[in-house]
Amino acid sequence: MNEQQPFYHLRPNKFIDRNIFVQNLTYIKKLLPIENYSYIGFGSFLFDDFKIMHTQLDITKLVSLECDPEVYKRANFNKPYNCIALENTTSTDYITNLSECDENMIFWLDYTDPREIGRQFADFCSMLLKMNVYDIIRVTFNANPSTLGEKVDQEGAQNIHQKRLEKLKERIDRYIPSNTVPDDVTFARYPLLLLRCLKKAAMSTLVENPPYQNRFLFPIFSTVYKDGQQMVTFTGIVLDNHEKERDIRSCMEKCEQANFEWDRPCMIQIPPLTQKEILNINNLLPSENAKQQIMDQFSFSFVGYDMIDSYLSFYKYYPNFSHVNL
Amino acid sequence: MCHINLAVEYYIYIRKSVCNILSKEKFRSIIVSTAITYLTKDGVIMANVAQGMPTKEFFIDMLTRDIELNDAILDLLDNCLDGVVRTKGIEGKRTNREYYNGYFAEIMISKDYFSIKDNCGGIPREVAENNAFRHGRTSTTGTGLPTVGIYGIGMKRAIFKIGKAALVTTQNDGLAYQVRIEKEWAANPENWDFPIDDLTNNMMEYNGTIVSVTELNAGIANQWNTEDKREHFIDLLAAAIKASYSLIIQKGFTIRINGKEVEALPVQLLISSDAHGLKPFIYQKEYGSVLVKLTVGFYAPPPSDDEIDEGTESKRSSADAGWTIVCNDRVVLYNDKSHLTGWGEAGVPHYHTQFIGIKGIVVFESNNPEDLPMTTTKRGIDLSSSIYADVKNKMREGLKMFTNYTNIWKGRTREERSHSSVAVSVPFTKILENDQEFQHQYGTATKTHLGGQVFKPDLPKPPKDRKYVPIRFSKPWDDVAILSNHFYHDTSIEIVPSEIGEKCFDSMLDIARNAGSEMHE
Repeated sequence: MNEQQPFYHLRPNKFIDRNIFVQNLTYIKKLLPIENYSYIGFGSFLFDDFKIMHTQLDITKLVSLECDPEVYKRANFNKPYNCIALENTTSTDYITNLSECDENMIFWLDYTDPREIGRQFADFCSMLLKMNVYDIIRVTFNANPSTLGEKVDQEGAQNIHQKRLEKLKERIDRYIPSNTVPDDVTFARYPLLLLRCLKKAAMSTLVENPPYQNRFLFPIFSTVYKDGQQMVTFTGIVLDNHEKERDIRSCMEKCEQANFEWDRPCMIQIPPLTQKEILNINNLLPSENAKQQIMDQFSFSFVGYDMIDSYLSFYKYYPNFSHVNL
Repeated sequence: MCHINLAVEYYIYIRKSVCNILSKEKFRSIIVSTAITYLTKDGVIMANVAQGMPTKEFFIDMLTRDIELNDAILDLLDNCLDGVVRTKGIEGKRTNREYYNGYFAEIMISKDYFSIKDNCGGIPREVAENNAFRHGRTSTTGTGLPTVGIYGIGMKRAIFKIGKAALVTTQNDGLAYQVRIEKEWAANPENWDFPIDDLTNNMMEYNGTIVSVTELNAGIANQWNTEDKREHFIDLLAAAIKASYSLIIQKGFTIRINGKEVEALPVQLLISSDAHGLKPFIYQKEYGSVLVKLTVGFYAPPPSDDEIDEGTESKRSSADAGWTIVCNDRVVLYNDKSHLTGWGEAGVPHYHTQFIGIKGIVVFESNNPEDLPMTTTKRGIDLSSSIYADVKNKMREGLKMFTNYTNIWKGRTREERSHSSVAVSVPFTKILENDQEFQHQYGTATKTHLGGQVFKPDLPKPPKDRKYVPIRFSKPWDDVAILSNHFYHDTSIEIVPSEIGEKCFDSMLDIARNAGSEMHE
């Protein structure tokens, strides 16, 4: 489903986001048998998430959805492990026809096409209704407000925000919180708005209705990152008892990104650094006043100190791409 | 003390029928402590109590203002059906496909008269004396039977909606009597009772009831005062009856209006015996005393793009699509396409002409009618019902399968029709029956999950060998006619424009392919 992004696996911020997710699952593994879960995602023909799910979490039931018949054939060729099943179908079709079963799953709806956000929200809701207690759902949306309409010459900011909000309403009106204002569609705030929409979608779909229906979606963490297009990702777990929230919180106590909130994402925005810079910075870490030390140690300044903050938060996940001869 | 007695009497009536806020003793003490009379300087007796008693006009107005005339008449039919259930008892209610056989209701409408006659067992005398004519029913009168009339306001409401005077003649277990509502009743502020006259026992040939209403209200008389208007009204009433009572008519009940029988309009769905053919979604579960069965699918093939474009002009009408909800055989919601039945919620799209072929029905049955998810008017769903909220999740799940089906086949109607045209129409009652032979023939055996029985069809999918993209455009009508003539050499045949578009594409593709192969040569 990501066929238009051939260097998908080289996107460093996405790489970090994926690794944080795996790190989170590693914490949850203390409480739940993640290795027995099924993993369903959009592996495209590169299968980065599938590889990591299998090698690091021992998951052996993996299903990759691919709607494009040509990419499907290519994916079949590139499939790295025998335990990955490929389905030539859309996520909507797959979810609609999914039969209830008692097994647990991790489902990553890793969307890219912003024009289809209406269908993507619908998938998310349909999927929630079919999820069992302790199932994990993760969803990624394009969070670039320009996908709601480009700015026309001389157009005022307020006007374009208003128009973009109208466009978003055309697509997902029923999930937009009533207190939304045009300023929520700025570049910085649009990801937060999408997270709030996601919350509304989840709250109005999984309605607690004892004694027949007790499931609800408990948020674990969310991220915003940009390797070209700004993206937002949400991860949550289905529970059926608010007491169980405590268990999840306590097993993820050491996990820095898990804040169990719907709309307080961590920003992944790592700077491009040379190997020499990385080695020198890493030598200082971990440290409470690392930022000051970096300023003292380097005779030049890095562009954008926010990015240094982001590096300090995620240095453990910083990808290392090298040229190799196979 | 006269006032106090009246007030207490009124309190008891209100308390039993409307609310339950104060205890009787507390209310009496309030009345006694405040109803102390005293003399003014002029010697006029005053009371320091403000009159709270309603006028009958107010009561009648409140009772009848929010109900449509058709619905009021349906209330009377509900009483007939409840009479059958009281007479026959619970046995066979769920299983007997001819449960109502031999029972009838006959409606007569003329310019100055309305009546409904039935042979459904009549009103027991003690019910008439204590409950049936009371405005509201006491909480202790539950019957433990699968009836729909739990609120006991239907008959009075219908009578007062139609006219000012009525005669209710009834015979129950051979005991015959009549209750008179005189036209003067409303004008008398004090007496809320209706006189009962004893009649000769077994004077009617069957146990049953005749409600006849005269002194029609002006608004009603105006609807019935010419032959044409009556005919029009009866036509609409018959349609409303079909919508609400088809299931009951199918089970043997006869309804006539001015001598003409109302036919059932059974809900049917398409089903194929092919393992991967078109089949409905089926779900069944017991929630305490409430048994729920639902099925949703296509009653007609999904429309082609041209049919969608024709929109409301289409031969097929959206009026037949949507969800119908039945409580104890009685339709409480008919062909609904709103959020009430899950459209436009939780991943299900809003209703659109594209979904014109989709129909679903949910049947709720319970011996405790108060557990059923219907409103007091019996013509709506009680959205606060937790049972309904849970069932709605399944309704949406089933519905989504068919909205998705129309989406994945969009633009490929001709191929799709190879599936939907081989499916046959089957009454939903057959689909929901636990008939193993039927289930075997059509492959609809259910599986158990979380206490419910579910059948999810494996619906046909378009082949995925190649990627398809839709092409849409508009061209001048007369140019299309030229091409139509070019391809078919006959302007008299009505060809849909998309077919001509496809022909153009195919012809041009052939030319392009041939040109390509020539180049290779």
